[in-house]
Amino acid sequence: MKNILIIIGVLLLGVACRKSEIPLYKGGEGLYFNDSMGDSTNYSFANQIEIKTTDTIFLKMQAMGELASRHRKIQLVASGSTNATEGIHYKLPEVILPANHYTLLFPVILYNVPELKEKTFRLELKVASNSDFVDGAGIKPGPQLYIRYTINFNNRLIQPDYWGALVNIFGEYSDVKYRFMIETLGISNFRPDWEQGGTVSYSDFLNYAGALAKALDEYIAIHGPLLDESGKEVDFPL
Amino acid sequence: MQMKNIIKVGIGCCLGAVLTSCVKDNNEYTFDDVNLVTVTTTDTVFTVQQLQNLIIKPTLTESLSNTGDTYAYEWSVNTTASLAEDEDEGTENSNPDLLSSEKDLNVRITLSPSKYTLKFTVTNNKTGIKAIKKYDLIVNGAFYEGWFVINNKNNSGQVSFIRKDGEVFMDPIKGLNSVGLNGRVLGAYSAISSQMRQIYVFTDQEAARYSVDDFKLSATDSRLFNEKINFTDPFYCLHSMDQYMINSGKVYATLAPVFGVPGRYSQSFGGLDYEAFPYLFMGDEYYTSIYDNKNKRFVHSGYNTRSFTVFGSMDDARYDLRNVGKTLIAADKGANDEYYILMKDDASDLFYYGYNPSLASPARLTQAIKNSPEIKQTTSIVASGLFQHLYYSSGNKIYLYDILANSSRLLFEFPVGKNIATMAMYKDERWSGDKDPLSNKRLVVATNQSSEGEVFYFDLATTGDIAGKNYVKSFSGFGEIVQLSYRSPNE
Repeated sequence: MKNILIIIGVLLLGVACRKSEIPLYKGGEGLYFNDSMGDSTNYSFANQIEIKTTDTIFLKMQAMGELASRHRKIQLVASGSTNATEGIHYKLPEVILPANHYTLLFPVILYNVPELKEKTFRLELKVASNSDFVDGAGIKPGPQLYIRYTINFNNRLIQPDYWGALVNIFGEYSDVKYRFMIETLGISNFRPDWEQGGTVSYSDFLNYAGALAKALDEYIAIHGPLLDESGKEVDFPL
Repeated sequence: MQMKNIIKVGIGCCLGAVLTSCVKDNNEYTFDDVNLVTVTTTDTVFTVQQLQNLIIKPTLTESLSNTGDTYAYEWSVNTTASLAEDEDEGTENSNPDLLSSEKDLNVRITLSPSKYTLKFTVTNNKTGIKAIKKYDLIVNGAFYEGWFVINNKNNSGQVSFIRKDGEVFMDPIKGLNSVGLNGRVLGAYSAISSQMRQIYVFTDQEAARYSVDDFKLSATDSRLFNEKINFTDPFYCLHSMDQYMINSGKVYATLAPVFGVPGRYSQSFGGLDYEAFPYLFMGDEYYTSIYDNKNKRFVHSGYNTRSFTVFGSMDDARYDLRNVGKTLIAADKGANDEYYILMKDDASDLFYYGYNPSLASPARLTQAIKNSPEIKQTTSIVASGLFQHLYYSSGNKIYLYDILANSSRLLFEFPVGKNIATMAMYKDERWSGDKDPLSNKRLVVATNQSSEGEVFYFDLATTGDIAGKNYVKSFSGFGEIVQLSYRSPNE
């Protein structure tokens, strides 16, 4: 009997301790707009190098939660302060987030209709709830991730928000001057590299200023002075 | 019964294992001496010039004698800034380059000029025990100061170098890059500032930029320019906040690093129709100016500007900058920031023009040149930075034009057939420190005879004449020389 008790004791020791499983947090899945510059963007057909009848804005989106081993459908819908009409001013296709991916570029198609010359339209987007993203956008988890995203668009030249930093190089803004710059240099984004998201260096600006001054001289030699929308002669100070 | 015995035996074994598993340590050990090596050298800091051999013969002392141990050796170098930093961090912070596996170091150093950490590792092949010694290694540039002799040998361009101490390097670009210049060389210009140590080399095929310390290639023309440029008569200079290049009458520019990261050169300057003589005038009042040989006038530009402007009218000007009416053939910077210029009219008569862009009214003395033999044949001049003296050459002769006396005198004549290709005045242009006593007192002359080039140093007396009426040094072995250019020391 004593021996049996000893054996039973040894056996019980062997099974007494077991490593416990720690449960992991499992949150819901969400889909967000990811933009380091904010929750909106402005687009003008007139600001582009080539005037198009339709153009596509790609919105970077990021999924939160576990990676899925299946393809998932993503649908955006207009919401809130939207005054643009789907099918007339824009189109929102259905897009697939591939399996085992968590980011994608969502294409928003814009149409250059005549009324864009007179009016700026607003498209406020949010993620539609569906079987793959039941929670839709979910809860906003941190900076640069947004539940809603707004596109303001028209077909009028828009003075870039960074122009103030370039006045000493390019002079005062005018639509005619800006269009001349776009056509001469073949670029429309002159955001300086000392601002977030900018790519144009000071050295580049000097070269651009020289090229623009030369091009303007050639234009004047053929056509006479270039006048802007307010009747003022266009010039470049450098 | 049998089962009962097995259980008893099992329990007994377990008890036995428990009783014998722990034994008290009585701290009684046996020690054996190992052979350790001590490394001794003559110094802990070594300085070597690039392209010279670094020789170090360490003395190794073993702690045990007659062991018969053998050793492996390794000399390596890394680019860490100082010995102290390495020891503080306890780890190497870059991948070392192996210099030698011999005990005594004797290798040619091709490292770029900088400060390095030199490491000597002695490994006992039997025990694996290492002895490590670290030293500071300072590599000085081989091309720290001297004359670039731009020449073509066997139809191939080379930038030779006469170092200040007299050592000559015939083709360092090829020696350090394994490939030489592409095409016939047209010119080379160094640019030295606190943020820049570069040399631009132009051939009839391309432009390239190298580090002036070690001739490592840093950019070719596809990275320097937005357009393909066919070089014919290139000129380059660094001026404060901008870098300029002139070729085929057009001026291009980019930023100097003191003002920002230099990008590609601009398009050719606009603003006016012009054809620039390949020379840049720099001043305090008028930052940059050129002479427009097409319209026979001076024009100017501001800093960071990429176009030219015509001068305004000036009441006290000695001549009209907007309408000089002559063709510029040679220019050089003289005394007190004034430029000495030779121009010719339509009848090919020569005129002297003084131009000082550091003054509000730059147009200075002008006069028809008189009493100056063979000056009409000259194509280059050299200005004294001390006096109103201008040196010109014609064939195998050197003349001095005294501006105030408006007459010239013969200073030196080479043997017939040894014609002067180009001349330069040594000018110490460092911002700090005492000026070299030879500054503006050494005339450097390059000659060509057939396709063989030579360089001569002439020291000048205070009268401007050649001291001793002869050269003091000469260097030969070059190809056909096209230009002389001075490499100032790093700032």
